Amino acid sequence: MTTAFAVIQMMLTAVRRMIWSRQTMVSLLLLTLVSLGCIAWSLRGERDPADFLRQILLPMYVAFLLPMSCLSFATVGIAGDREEGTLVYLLSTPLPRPLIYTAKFAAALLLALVWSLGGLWVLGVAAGPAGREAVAIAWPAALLATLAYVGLFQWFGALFRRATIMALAYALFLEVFLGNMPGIIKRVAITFYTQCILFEAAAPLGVAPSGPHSATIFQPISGSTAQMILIVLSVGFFVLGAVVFSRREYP
Amino acid sequence: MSRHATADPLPAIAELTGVSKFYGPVMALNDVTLSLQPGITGLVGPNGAGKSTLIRLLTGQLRPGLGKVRVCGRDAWRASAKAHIGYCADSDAFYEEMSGRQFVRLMARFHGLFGAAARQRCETVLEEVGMADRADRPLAGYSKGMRQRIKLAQALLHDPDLLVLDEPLNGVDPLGRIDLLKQLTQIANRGKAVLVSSHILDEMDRLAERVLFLCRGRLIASGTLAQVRDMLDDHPLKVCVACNSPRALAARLALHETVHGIQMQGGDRLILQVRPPKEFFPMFSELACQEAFEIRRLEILDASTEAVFDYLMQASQPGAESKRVPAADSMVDRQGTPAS
Amino acid sequence: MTPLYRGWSERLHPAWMACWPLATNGVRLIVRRKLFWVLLGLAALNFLFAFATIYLKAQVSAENPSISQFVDAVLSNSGGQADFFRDFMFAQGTVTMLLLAFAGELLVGGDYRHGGLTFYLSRRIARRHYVMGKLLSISLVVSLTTTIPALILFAEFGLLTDSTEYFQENWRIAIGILGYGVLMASVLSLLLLALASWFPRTVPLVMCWACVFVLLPALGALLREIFDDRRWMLLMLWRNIRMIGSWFFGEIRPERDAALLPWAIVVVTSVCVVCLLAVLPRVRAVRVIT
Repeated sequence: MTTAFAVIQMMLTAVRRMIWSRQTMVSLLLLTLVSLGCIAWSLRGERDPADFLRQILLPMYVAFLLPMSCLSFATVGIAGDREEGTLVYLLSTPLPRPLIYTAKFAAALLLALVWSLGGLWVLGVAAGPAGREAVAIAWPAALLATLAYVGLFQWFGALFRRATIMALAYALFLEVFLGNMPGIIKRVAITFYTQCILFEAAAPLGVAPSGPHSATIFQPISGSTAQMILIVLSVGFFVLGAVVFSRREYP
Repeated sequence: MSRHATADPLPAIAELTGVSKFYGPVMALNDVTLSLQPGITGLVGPNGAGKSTLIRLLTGQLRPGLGKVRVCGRDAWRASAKAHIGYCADSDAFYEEMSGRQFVRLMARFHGLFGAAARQRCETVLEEVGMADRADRPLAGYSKGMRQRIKLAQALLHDPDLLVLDEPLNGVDPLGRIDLLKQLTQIANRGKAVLVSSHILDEMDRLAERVLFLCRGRLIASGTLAQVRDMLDDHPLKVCVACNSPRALAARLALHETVHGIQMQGGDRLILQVRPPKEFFPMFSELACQEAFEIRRLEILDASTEAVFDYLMQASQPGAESKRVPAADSMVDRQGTPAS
Repeated sequence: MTPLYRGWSERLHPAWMACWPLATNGVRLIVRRKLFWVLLGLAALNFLFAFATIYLKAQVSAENPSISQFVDAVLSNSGGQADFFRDFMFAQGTVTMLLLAFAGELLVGGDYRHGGLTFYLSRRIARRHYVMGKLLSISLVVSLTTTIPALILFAEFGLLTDSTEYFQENWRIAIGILGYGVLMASVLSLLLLALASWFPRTVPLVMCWACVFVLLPALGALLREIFDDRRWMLLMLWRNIRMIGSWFFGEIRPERDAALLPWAIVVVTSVCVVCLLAVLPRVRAVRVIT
C-alpha cells in the first residue's frame, strides 16, 4: 500500500514540476498562436472539416504541435532528472526501478494527453463547427500518436545521456526529413502512422494525401494497421524503457 | 564518541566482497573487500582513488563488475536494500523551486511515510540537522551549508541502518561542523553504521572510529588510526615529550635502539622518532619511573589521519621503494580483515 | 604580501579584448561536440559540392568550350552570378539555423545553468563585454558556415579565370555576400542570445526557435491565404532576412515582394531591438531569490 502511495506521490510531483516549467509556457504560446490562426481561419467564408484537416491539423498540429508537446513533457521525466542530478534521490528510495519509471511515464503521459487532446479540442473550438467536426475525426489518431511519442521519448530518457538532444534530433530530422521522403523509409516516423489513421478516418470527407503527399508517393497503410502499429510501438517503448531503466547505472 | 573494540567485532551492516568496478577500460575499484559495522567509518583517499565509486556501489547506484555488495544481507542494487540506506550525495542538486521543508517532506513520502507520520518525521529530522526554523525558504536561496543539512535530513528520514555521507562537511561553517559531527556521533551511538567520505582529514581524527584508505582503486589500509599507524614500519613515530630535564632524558633515550632520532624543541620539549612504538612505550614508562623524570606531556604527533594518509600515499606510489609496497599492501589481507 | 605576489607590471589589455576569447571559446565548444559534426558536415558537404562544381566547370570550359554550354545547361545556376551566391548562403544558413537551435544551450544557456555568468562578470568583463563576446561567438559560427565559404567560392570563381575581370565586374557580389552574412550573423546571434538567456534549457529553447522559424512561417502562409494579403508573409523572419540579403546583392527575390522590402527591414530591425532589450535584464551576476 505504501509503495502504491509513494509511486502516486512520485507521479504527482513529476506532474507538478512539469506544469510549472518553461516548456509548458512555450507550449502554451505555440498553442495560442495556432489557435489565433484557427480563429482567423474560421472568420473567412464557408469552411468544412476537410479544409481544417488539410490546412491546420496536418501541417501544424500533427507535424509540429503534437510531437513538440509530447517531447516537452516526456523528456522532462527521466532525462530532466538525469540532467539536473536529482535522479539520485529517486534511485535512493526503496521503490523498484520499474515503478519509478512507471510513475514518470504516467506523469508525462497524463500531461501529454491533456495537452495534445486538450489542444486539439481548443483548436477545434477556435475553428468553429467545421473544426469541432474535424476534431471528432482526428482525436483517436492524436491519442495513439501521443502514446507512441511519450513512450519513445521516455525511453530515450532512460537510454541516452543527452536524451533531449536525441529526442529533438528525432523530432526535427527523422520525423520531418524521413517522414516526407518517398518510399517505405518514412515508416520510421510516428507521424506517418498518425497521418494514415487520419487519412482513413477522413476519407469520407475527401481528405487524402495530396501534393507532395499524393497517394503514390505517400503509400499509406490501412488505418487499422496503423492503429495496431502505434499501440504495439507504445507498449514496446514502455517495456523497453522500463527494462533499460531497471538495468542501467546512472552515475 | 563510542569506540567499539575491534577484538569484539559487531555484526556487519554492509559488506563488500571482492568488489571490482570497471568504467570501460578504467578499473575504478580493484578487488575491494570490507565490512562496515555500527559506528563511524571514514573513507579517505586522493582524487580518483575510487571513493565515490565505492559509495555509489554501497548505495546501490552502481552495480559491481565483480563481487558482491550487501547491505543488511540484501543486494545493495535491489530496492529492498534501499530501505536500510540513507544517502547524502556529493552533488548539489535539488528541486530548486521547493522549500527545504517541502523537499524533505516529499522525500519522506517517497520513502513510504504519509500524513501525520511524514510531517512528524520531517520535523524531527529538520530539528536534528538544525534547519527547522529556516526550512520554509526556497532551496534555490540556501547557502552551501544549509543545502548540506537538508541533504542530511533527507538521508535520515527513514532511520536507515547505514548512513553514507559523501563530503558532508563541504561548505559547512565551523560551528555547523561541530553540530553535524555531534549528530553523526549520536546516530552512530544508536547502533547505525555511518560511512563518511571527506577531504577534511582533520575532522576524521575526531569523528571516525575506523578509517578506510583507498588509493588507485585499492583498499590499502583499514582499521583504527592507531592500528594503521602501527603497521607503518618504515615511518618512525614522532613523539613529543615535555619534561623537567630534557637534556638528561635525551641522553638516556639516545642509548636505546628504539629511538632513531631526538630533536630539542623549546626549553623543555623533545621530539623523538621511535620505532617500533610497541617496544618504545614500555621502555619509556619504565625509564621515566626509574629515573624520576617529571613527564609533563607525551603526545604522538603523526598519528593523525592526515599524517597516516601521507605515509600511505608515499608507500603506494609506483616509484616507492619496493620494500615499502608490500608493507602497505599487507595491511589488508585477502579476506579484508582490518590491519589489526 | 611580497612584491612578487603580483609581478605583472605591464598595462592590462582593455576589457573589450575579452570578447575575442569568449567568442573563440564558444566556437571551440561547438567543434568539440560530435553532434555538431553532423550539421557542420552537412554544411561542408554543400560547400564542397559547390567548390567541385565550379572547378569542374572551369576545367571543362578551358579544355572544350563547346562542352561548357552543356555543363551550363546541366548545372544551372553555377555561373558565378549573384543568384548562385544568394542561394548558396540561404542553403548554408538553413543548416546553420538548425545548428544554432541545438548550440544555444551550449553557447549561452550553460552560462545561466552552471554559473558561468557569475564567473565572467566577476572579472573585468562588464555586461556589455559579455553580450558582445557572446554575439561575436554566435556570429563566428554563422560566418564560418555561410560568409566565409561563400567568399571562398567567390575567390575560386575569380581565380579560375585568366584575368581579374570577374572581380571587377562582380564586386557587388562580394558586398552582397558580406552584407547578407553580416545580416544573418547579427539577427541570428541576437535572437539566439535573447531566447537562450530566457530559456537556457534545450527543449524550451528549441521550441521557441522552432516557433520562430517553423510555426510562424506556417501561420504566415495560412494567414496570407485566408486574408489574401502578402504582408502576412512578414511573419516569416527567415524569408525577410533573405529578402534583405537579396537587396545587398542588387536585386530583390522574389521580385513580387519588392514592395515588402521596407516592411521586412522594419520587422528585422524591430526583432533585433526587442532581442537586445530582452537580453540586458538577464545578464546579471547575482540572482536574488525571495
